[in-house]
Amino acid sequence: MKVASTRPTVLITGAAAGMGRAHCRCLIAEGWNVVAVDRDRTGLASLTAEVGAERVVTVEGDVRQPDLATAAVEVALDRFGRLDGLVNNAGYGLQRSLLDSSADDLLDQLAVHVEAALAFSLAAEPYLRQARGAIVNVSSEWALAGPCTWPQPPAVAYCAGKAGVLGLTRALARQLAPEVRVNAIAPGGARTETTLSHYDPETLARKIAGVPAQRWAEPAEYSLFVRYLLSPAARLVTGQVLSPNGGEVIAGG
Amino acid sequence: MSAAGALLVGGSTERASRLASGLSGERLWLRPAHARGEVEGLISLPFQPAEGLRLDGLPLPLDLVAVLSDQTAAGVRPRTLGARLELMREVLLEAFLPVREVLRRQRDWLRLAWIISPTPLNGCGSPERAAAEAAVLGLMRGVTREFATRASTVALVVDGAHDPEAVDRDLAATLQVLRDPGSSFYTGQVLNLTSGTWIAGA
Repeated sequence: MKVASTRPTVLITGAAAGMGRAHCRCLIAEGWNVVAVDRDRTGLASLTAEVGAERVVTVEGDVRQPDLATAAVEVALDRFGRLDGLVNNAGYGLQRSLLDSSADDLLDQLAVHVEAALAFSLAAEPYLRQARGAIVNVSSEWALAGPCTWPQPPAVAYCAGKAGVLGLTRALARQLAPEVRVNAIAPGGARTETTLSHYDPETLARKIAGVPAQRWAEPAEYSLFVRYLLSPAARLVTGQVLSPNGGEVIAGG
Repeated sequence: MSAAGALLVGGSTERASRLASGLSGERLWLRPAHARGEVEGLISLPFQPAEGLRLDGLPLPLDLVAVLSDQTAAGVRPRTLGARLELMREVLLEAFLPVREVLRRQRDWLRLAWIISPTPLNGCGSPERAAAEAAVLGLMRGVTREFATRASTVALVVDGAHDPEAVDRDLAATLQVLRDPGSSFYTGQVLNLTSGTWIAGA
């Protein structure tokens, strides 16, 4: 391990595009070093070109690969000498009817969202304990309410995977306390290239009309919550789920 | 008394027996590999999630499918991470495959119930178990939206650590109420039957 950087270091999975990339930008602007993990080589190269190689190091791989988590943590230590935060962001949506969903569909959602998050958390645990760091897991508002956006597309396997993240978050929060805090965000709609490409303008307008805030968030708006949960300001927050969703899911009391 | 059948999924022989005694109509049990023995009055079908599931010959219609997803609480506790992950996958497949097969075969309304422990909600337990049972909750919510016109769903939270017989008696009585079509508007909810051992907002 090299001499530790004076800056905190965060490892982010699914970092090349969309919300993950927004988290990279936000945290670098806030003074963090970033270890960016993604299977998209081109996206990682463009991230480095955008933010500069001084503060970001990239690791190419699929989070379902068994040894990727350990390798990525080693890269963090080799390059920056410390690890203070982990953002388990990698994932993908699957809109498929239950009747057409296979066992493999379900298990792949579990692998990408839950098993990968667990593997990265365990690999990072000793260094996060040392740094009294934090983990942020990225879930979805659909984990809390099912596919609630019009036209309520079938997405049982995706809902299961993203809800699994919440159970994982709560148990890890207990297991890693008091040194490491573990929380989740469950975002609503985001204006990422991927999500916008799924819908024609009319469909998108109708979906957004069902959101009390009357819009979907820019990815960077969710980064603010990730930044907060990683920060000392959230030192009393662990085992919790923040769902910034423009009022699309209102429940509890 | 219900004229339609009830399908129990998973659990031990003892639990299946206790629950079956509180349910009316024809009762079937998808018996996991670790459960031994038959239960009087209960048609039992062997079920190993890893091998898939075919329910040809299932007497339909059913008005209740109840999946015992809280079994990791009292059941096997693997030591290695790999084995715990395998159990997590099995819990989720057990919650998924029978429900998919019944919904493929039947159009009549029915109650789908998943029984979980407080672990996914309070984090007391292993991360894999909490994730598995939380994923079951997500499954329930997804099914609720997709099949709203022909199935009503519920997740029942039970804590059988201290008095499993009493818990299962109350659970069976609750399931009996919820399989009444008059309860169909109650769907997508989490019902807490933990006698106050777990109390939390929403």
